[in-house]
Amino acid sequence: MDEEKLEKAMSSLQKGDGNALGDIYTLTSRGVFTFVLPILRDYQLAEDVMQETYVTCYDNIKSYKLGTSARNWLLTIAKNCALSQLKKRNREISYDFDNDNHPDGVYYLGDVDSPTIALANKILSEEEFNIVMMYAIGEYKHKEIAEFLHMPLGTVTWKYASALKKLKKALEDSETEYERARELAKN
Amino acid sequence: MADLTKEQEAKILFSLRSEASLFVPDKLLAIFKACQINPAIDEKSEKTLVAALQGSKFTPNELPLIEKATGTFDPLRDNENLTLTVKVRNEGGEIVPDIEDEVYREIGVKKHFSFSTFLKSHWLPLVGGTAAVALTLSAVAAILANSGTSPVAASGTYITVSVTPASYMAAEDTLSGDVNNYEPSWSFLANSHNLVSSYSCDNYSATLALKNFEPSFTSKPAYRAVSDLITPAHVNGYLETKDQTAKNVINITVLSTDSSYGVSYASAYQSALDDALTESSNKIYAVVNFSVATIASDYLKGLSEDEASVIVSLYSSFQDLDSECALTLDELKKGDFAVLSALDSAVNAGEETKLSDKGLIAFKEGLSESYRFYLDNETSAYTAQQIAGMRRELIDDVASIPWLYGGRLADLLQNDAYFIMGDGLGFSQDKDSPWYLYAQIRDYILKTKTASADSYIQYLSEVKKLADSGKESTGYLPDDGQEGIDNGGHIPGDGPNANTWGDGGGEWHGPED
Repeated sequence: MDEEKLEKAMSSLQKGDGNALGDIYTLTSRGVFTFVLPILRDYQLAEDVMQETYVTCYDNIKSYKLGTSARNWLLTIAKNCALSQLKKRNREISYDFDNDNHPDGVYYLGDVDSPTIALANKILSEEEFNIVMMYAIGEYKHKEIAEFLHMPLGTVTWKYASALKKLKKALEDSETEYERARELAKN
Repeated sequence: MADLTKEQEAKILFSLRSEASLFVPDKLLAIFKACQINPAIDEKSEKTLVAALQGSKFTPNELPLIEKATGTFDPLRDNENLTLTVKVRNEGGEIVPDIEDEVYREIGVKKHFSFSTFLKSHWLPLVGGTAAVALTLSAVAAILANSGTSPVAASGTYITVSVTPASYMAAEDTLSGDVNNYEPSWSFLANSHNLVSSYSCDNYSATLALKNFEPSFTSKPAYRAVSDLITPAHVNGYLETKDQTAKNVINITVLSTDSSYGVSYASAYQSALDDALTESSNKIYAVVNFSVATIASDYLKGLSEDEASVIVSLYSSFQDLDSECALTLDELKKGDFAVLSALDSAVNAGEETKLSDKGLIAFKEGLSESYRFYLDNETSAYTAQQIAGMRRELIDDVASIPWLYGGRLADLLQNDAYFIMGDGLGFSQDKDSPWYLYAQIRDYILKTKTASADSYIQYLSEVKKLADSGKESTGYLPDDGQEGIDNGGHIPGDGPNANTWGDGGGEWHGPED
């Protein structure tokens, strides 16, 4: 049903109804954000790229072929925007020796607001994190993720399962650690 | 997932999803701002919104609409949150007697539906005075400079008219068979006396809209030429009279060296259009958007009139492409006149041949790309032999090609001119996709053909020939057919025969509003 709504919104936007962009955003923003974040590993940059993705979508809506996958089309735009941001950032970093950004591979996530996501980011590989986020938050099906990431479906489901197992263990460990800290504090 | 139960999986997913509402940022309003979209809503929704904010007719279904319009829209908030927010507002509404105007003012929603977004889909975004507009204006100044030795005192006007059928405006399902989703567009050039010196059809629907009519526009006042489009467009079904409440839309965009053009002629346009719309054989209801921008400089100073004309014509033709593909004036000024003329002929042939809007965009993209290859003297990394192999592969796999035209396609793929279509038609980075293969071959052909001015001109003439051949038959350029090529034959509707049908007329939005 969402796909129908999305297709309809794409069609309206092609006709010039700018407000349809709001519907497209509502239906896809979570998927787009959780897709670009692992690529960029920088929350602020991911925010910018998400915005750029929808502006690019708006500017190029005529090149979207109705009836194909709007989600994949948006993700392709998002990926291109993210990669171009990455290139730009890498160039900037190489010239800025005083830059104290987080080292590659670590990016800030509100640990208090989103502890599970922060933990997932910490312990999962980029690919695993991407798959889990696309599935859990972006609400893509495994088949769609496989298609977009150019991976066999079996690999995606296997990586997903393995990522959740790691996450479960990490959650249990952090709980144990918390209990131990409480015990220590009591004593 | 042997050691992870369904419940555990669900628990983890639930945690991730609940955190997502705080984790995923809401950038919608920033995006709207960046796209210069006024979060306008249609009249019906607007009434609902006002009623809901006043607390009189609230139902939960209106929540997203309200949140969106008030700028507190958060796609990730749950319905319970939204209900609470609006409930609080409604309770407040009981002590507010009549807040309609205030609501309108606060949420920035116009009382009448704004069609400014529609302007964006045409060749010139007038809203906001962007650099592109400034360049276009100055380009037109140059075309209008009719003295080759002293191009300073340029004067004249460039007018674009486009029509959106009422059924297309009103449709929820724009692909339904009852909807005419084709928007013809024409351009006129007028002199300092506002008399038309030339005109052109900007797409295939524009040609079809004049079918069985042979209007003569030359030497007529521009407003008369524009109003002369009404009857043919109505008879051919692009201005409809099926439902009095669903209005057609006519956009008139004017660029003029005359800073008082709007003041001088807006009422003449309004009156001429009103006459045509209310003519007894028409009785058409339409919203007419009339925008005027003044031309300020002479960017192409020093060029001959012919050169300037071709450059402006090309520049405006490419304006409906996205900003990366649209050729700039600087780029166009670098080209030989012979090349520019050949390019202009090819573009015009494409605009008049049987192509859907998407097909026409792709056609222009290919032309734009070829021109850049010519300017940059680009060469391909592939060898002729490699490309021949890829071409064979594409032809062998002809059945998987999305724009299949029966048995003709294998033959057509032998024609280099056929590869002029750009990424707008289809695009893939997947090496197994026919789109990818097609793009590699296209790049090679375009780079090879643009190696010299002579070979490029020759190639452009082949492209023009191919486009011309599509005018009289099914169309020989690739077009996915999904949106369909306009086949004319639209029915205007017999609304005026009903007793309740009024006189028709235009709802004017312009300088003399």
